[in-house]
Amino acid sequence: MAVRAAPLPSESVDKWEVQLRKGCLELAILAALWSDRLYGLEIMRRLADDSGLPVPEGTVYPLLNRLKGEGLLTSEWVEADAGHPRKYYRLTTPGRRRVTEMARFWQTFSASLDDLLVPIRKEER
Amino acid sequence: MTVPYSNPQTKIDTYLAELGARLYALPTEQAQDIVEEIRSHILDSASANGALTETEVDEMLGRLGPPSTLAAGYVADNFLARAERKRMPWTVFHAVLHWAALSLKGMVVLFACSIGYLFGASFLVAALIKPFNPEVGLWRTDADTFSLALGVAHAVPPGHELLGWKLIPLGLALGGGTILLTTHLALWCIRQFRRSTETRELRRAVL
Repeated sequence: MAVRAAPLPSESVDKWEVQLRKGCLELAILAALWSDRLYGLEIMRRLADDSGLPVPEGTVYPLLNRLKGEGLLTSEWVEADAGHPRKYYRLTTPGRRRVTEMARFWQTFSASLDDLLVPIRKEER
Repeated sequence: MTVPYSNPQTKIDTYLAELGARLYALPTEQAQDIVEEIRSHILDSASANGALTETEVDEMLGRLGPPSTLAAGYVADNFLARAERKRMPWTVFHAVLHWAALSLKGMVVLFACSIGYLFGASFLVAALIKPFNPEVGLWRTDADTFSLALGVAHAVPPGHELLGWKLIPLGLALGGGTILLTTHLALWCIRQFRRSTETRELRRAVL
């Protein structure tokens, strides 16, 4: 399920990557819920498939619980064909506001960082 | 003789039962909700691959991590969130108390925390009692060993009280300061613990 984009060589880069992914996790989860209600496993699949951001179960569920506690998400149990109910999450109004703000910040931030990286990529080529 | 964990279903039930037990610190309704959500997750992961085999269940439960770790994630999150919102010594102490029930690190923090709060509280109490009972004070009980006793002491000379009425402002400041410091230190420890657990889990997923 988890496919890494490209292997990174050194251990310090590795550590940095983990920290970076962790920092983005909240944004990624909120963003995944932008247009649909989803249950835990669906959120994880979406993160892994659409964004190459594999997330362990043991992290996602407590995080969902926390986001719900903060009032950014609500949850509801829905009976499914699978034979057991599933717990669906959706964004609340404060959740929508939060993810909008985060997305706006992310866009500005990553654009300016990209500018900074241009010379490095040029030299690599 | 029956072999424990002999079939996949029993294994799942055992896992969930332990998870539920470890979540006792949370409101019952919330704990049940979490257990049901994890059950639903396990069933969904399993049905994607067809029948439930023992190897699959092992792998799935492995990915979820031990019930105690998973529970610690919820409990630490829950109490940290509350402790950070309220920032009160008792909410923090309450959080640490539950953390101690889950891990050795929590026990160490609980020990340190108890000493800090006890020390702080005794200074506060001494300062508050002083106006009503002037015999309360910081006593040097023995000239040679310099042992100090905080409280009501009837030390024989050369033992004597050191602070006098200064005990009131000093006790309030020292007691309050110690309690504040302990609270911040405990919050920091919980935050570190949560962060390190999350990082470890993520490493596992990434690598």
